[in-house]
Amino acid sequence: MEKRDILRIEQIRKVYADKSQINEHVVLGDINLRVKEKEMVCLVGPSGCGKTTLLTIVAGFLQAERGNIYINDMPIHGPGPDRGFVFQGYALFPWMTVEENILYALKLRHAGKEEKQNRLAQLLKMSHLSGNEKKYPKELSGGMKQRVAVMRAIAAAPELLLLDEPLAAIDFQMRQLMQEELYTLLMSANTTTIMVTHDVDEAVYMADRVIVMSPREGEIIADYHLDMARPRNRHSPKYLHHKEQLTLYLSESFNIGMEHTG
Amino acid sequence: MAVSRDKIPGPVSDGRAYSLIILLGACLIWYVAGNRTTNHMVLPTFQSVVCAFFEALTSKEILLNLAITMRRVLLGFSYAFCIGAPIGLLMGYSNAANKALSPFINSARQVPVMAWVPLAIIWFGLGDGPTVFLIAFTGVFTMIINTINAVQDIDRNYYHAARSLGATRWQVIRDVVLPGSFPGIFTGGRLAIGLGWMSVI
Ligand SMILES: Nc1ncnc2c1ncn2[C@@H]1O[C@H](COP(=O)(O)OP(=O)(O)OP(=O)(O)O)[C@@H](O)[C@H]1O
Ligand SMILES: [Mg+2]
Repeated sequence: MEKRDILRIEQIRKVYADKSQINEHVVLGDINLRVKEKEMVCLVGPSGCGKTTLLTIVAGFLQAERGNIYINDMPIHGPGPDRGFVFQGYALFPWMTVEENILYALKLRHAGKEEKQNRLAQLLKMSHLSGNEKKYPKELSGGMKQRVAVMRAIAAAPELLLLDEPLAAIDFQMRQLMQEELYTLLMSANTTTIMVTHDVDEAVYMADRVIVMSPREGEIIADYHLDMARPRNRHSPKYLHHKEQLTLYLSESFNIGMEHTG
Repeated sequence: MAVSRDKIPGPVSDGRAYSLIILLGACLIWYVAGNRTTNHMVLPTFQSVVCAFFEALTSKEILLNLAITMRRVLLGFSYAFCIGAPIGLLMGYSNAANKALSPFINSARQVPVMAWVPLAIIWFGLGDGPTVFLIAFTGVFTMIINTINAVQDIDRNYYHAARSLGATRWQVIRDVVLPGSFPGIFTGGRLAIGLGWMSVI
């Protein structure tokens, strides 16, 4: 049976007023995209092409000028627990412990004590954070914060998980390790995911599908499917081939940007 | 500040040691200068001031007055806090409230405190009332402004995070606005107490 669409993005347009207030800057011209159940989609493109803008519109933090977002065929109105968001800077509540951060969604819907305990144990185990539940975010390393942020979003059991460059703050040496870890985490949570990244290697390692956006009104210039077994071998010919292809698309997108602004 | 102190270990990082040295140095200069001048109206000797200080500490009347002053400051501060913090929270959280209220707040702020003294005496009589009013009055704007800043400085993403985890407007206020602005409100409170002390003197 064909898998159903969890997310439908239809004819999204987003315009910002220029600094001068005279011209307008069309960030997203007419964006259309469908994401299937359990799909892991990476969104790549040059800086400023509108990746964060699109993701925040899907999250409901930002309103589009035109178009609609559907989750399971229902149009969205503002943010909601059906869409989890992992922020680039994590945005963990500094006044809450790890445990309180992770269980916040459950607290909001007045979950029982037992449910909270079970869920917490499960999530801590999944993310290897056991023993840190009483700590405050400032006591954690970057990688741990990132895991707490993912767990906090997953705890709400969202239909769709949105991640904005979740590994951007992780240094180069740790990055590959963190990619594996994050991927395992997402798989065990069993959600549909859209992740923004500007790292082609990260996209090829993690995604089922890579969407390449261009700086010309955010137009999608490639919708690239990666049919590779997991875990992926970063040195296999197939992996390198996909990486090369995507790098080509990305430089094409970059050139479009140069023409568009120049 | 606490952060930078944490970073450098050992006594070198402890500013209090230096403060003590400076204090002792100042006392020494005063002591020497006081014993060299002949006109003690201009500069009383160090010893006589220290003696007077300890006499004052044991004098019932002075302690009583100190207690009265402290009571006034605390009372005035409580009013400033209880009025200023909620107004500041409202103005920081809601743009509409900010626009509507800030003309009044700003014009009332510009009036020199002394100009309120006659009015305060008419309103509250001659007892504690006017003093407490003036302390509250000077403190309330500090509270309002610091609270507004505290709320406005909260990272937008904390609101977004709470909303995307299912928080209603009230839950956002309870779980993000209040705890997020607490450090700023606390700073406002400290400044307001300080101003209170200064305005009683
Ligand atoms: N609040 C805003 N007001 C005006 N322009 C904005 C605003 N937010 C974003 N933009 C503009 O919209 C464009 C897209 O921004 P966006 O943050 O979505 O890009 P991005 O693809 O996420 O870039 P990056 O990879 O650097 O994060 C940029 O040109 C940016 O200057
Ligand atoms: Mg971005």
